[in-house]
Amino acid sequence: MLTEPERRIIRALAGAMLPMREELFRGVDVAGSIDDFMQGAPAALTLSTRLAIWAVELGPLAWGFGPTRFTSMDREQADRYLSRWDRSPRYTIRSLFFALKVVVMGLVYDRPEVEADFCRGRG
Amino acid sequence: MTRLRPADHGLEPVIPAERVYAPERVPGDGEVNAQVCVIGTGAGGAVVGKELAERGLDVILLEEGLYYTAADYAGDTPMRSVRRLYRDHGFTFTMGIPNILMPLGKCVGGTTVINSGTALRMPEWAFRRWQLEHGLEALSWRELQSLYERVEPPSGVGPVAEELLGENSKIFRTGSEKLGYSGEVLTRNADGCKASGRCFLGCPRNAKRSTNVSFVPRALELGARLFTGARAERILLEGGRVVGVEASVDAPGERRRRRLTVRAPNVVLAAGAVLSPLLLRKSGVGRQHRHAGKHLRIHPASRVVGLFDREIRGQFDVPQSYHLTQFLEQGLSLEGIFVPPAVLAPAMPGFGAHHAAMMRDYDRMAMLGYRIIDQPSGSVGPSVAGTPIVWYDIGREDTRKLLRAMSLSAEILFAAGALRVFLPVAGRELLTNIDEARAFAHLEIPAADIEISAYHPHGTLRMGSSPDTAVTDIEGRVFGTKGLYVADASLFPESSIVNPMMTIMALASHVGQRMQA
Repeated sequence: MLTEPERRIIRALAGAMLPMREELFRGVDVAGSIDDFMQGAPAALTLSTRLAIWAVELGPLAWGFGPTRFTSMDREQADRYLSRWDRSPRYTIRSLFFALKVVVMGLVYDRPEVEADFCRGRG
Repeated sequence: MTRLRPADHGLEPVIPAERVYAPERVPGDGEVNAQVCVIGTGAGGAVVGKELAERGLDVILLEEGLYYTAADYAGDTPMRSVRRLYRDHGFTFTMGIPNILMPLGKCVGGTTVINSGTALRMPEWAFRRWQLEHGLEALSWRELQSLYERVEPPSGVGPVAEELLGENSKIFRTGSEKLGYSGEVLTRNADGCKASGRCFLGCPRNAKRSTNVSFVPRALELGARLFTGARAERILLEGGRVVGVEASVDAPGERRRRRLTVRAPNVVLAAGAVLSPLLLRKSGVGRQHRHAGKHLRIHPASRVVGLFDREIRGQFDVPQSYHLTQFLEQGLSLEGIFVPPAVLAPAMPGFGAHHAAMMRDYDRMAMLGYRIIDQPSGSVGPSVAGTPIVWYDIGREDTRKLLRAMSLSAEILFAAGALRVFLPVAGRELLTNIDEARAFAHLEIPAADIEISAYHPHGTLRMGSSPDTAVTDIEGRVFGTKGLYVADASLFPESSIVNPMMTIMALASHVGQRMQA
């Protein structure tokens, strides 16, 4: 189970990664979906997900954003910061971010109401 | 043929429930006897189990996953299906750079439940190479054809009907034809397909004849017993011959896994090319075989996405229904694919508002998948915890092949009218015209920059004529250990070139018919 600070980081990440219409996002509990998905998952998967979450939270200092945390950044700063992860020349950094993208975006787009909003369906 | 009964969502197989031992039905630390114990129920295990049961042998099938059919997963969202049906919740990766996502099934039916249903016979020229280079002349091309003929009807193999092709595949075909590339409609094991577009999440109508709805129910009808949720831990040996399998069962509500001992003089390893060599090694057999766990090939794969000026809505077509045959001898296979938003979104470049705007065009996107015939660049070994670790480093030549396949795929989409094409390459995600697509094949791009996945691990317990070069003989017998057999993709001495499912089934049928039990 994610801790409350981890849930806060996930909410901030989802907000930055997925700026959807408010009414679409209102019912989405990304952290809860992650908890649900991770039940019974191999320890390596839950551990690496947590590691990636905290790396994003504590990374701003290492990336030259000063003594701040990801969850304290405003949207514009958060976008610039996450772009550094996404565009990093280092494979490990990029793949950590990609893993978070898979979990966060995968679980949000997985919701029937979100999926329906993005694809119109048959006929 | 397996009997089917109508259900709300389609058809359901008639499964003799009294022969299925779910974890709660396994007595604490129990022991059972059989003539043959088959480990795994995928393309290999289910077929060999059915063949042996048909011969009147007392067969036990062991399966680590649980038994699901469409009645269980028809209403699942994509991620819920992945969690239910896939090993490691869908997050099985190779170690190396890059890490390659390699999804494997963990349920009765194994990976046949979560594959696209492509059901092809391997080309004759590829099989001739198997024969010549690995001393496998004892199995003739003609015999292989009769094995295919034996396993195809219960699998419902046939070409995709024109009306099910869908716009995504038609775009692929149109683009290929404009460029003069030869291709054909795929054959699949889904004769009752209604194009639900969810093959890789478990067919919601049981129309795809994965082994959980075909060979496993048939084996059970013929008298086999199936233990689900039962993980084979090691093969039991006495004096150089097999005497059984020790398994552990994850019973609900219990912290300790129950122990299940299957006493059997014959054991068939059919847990797939990742787990079978691991089990061999954990049982102390692998050490005698220097080729065990080596020579892993995976058919590295990826996809490109094209944006069109019209709606395509490929999500509700048969995702994989057309392929190019033109480049197979050069080691390149191009196949139509399509995935739901939950799978596509993380693979599209960037995040935030720009990403969401791209995803708004989902209905106008076409997708094309490709894979390459790779060098044997990987191996399988145990982690400290005893779980499998797959090592795989893609070589320079194979990286070039991937780029060529990517370039061809993008070229085809542009020829079919794509406005732009998205590539799975870090920092080079967008192509805007066909010339850029053609030029892409000649770029030097490191493998680490390419998002790669793989769906066909094979070759880790390869068959051959001698223990100096192989682990088993042509009939799947492990050299030097009486009563031990292999019947899965581990047997492949080289690539099957096409999707391996039907060749695994054919070889498993051969093993099952020839076994001296």
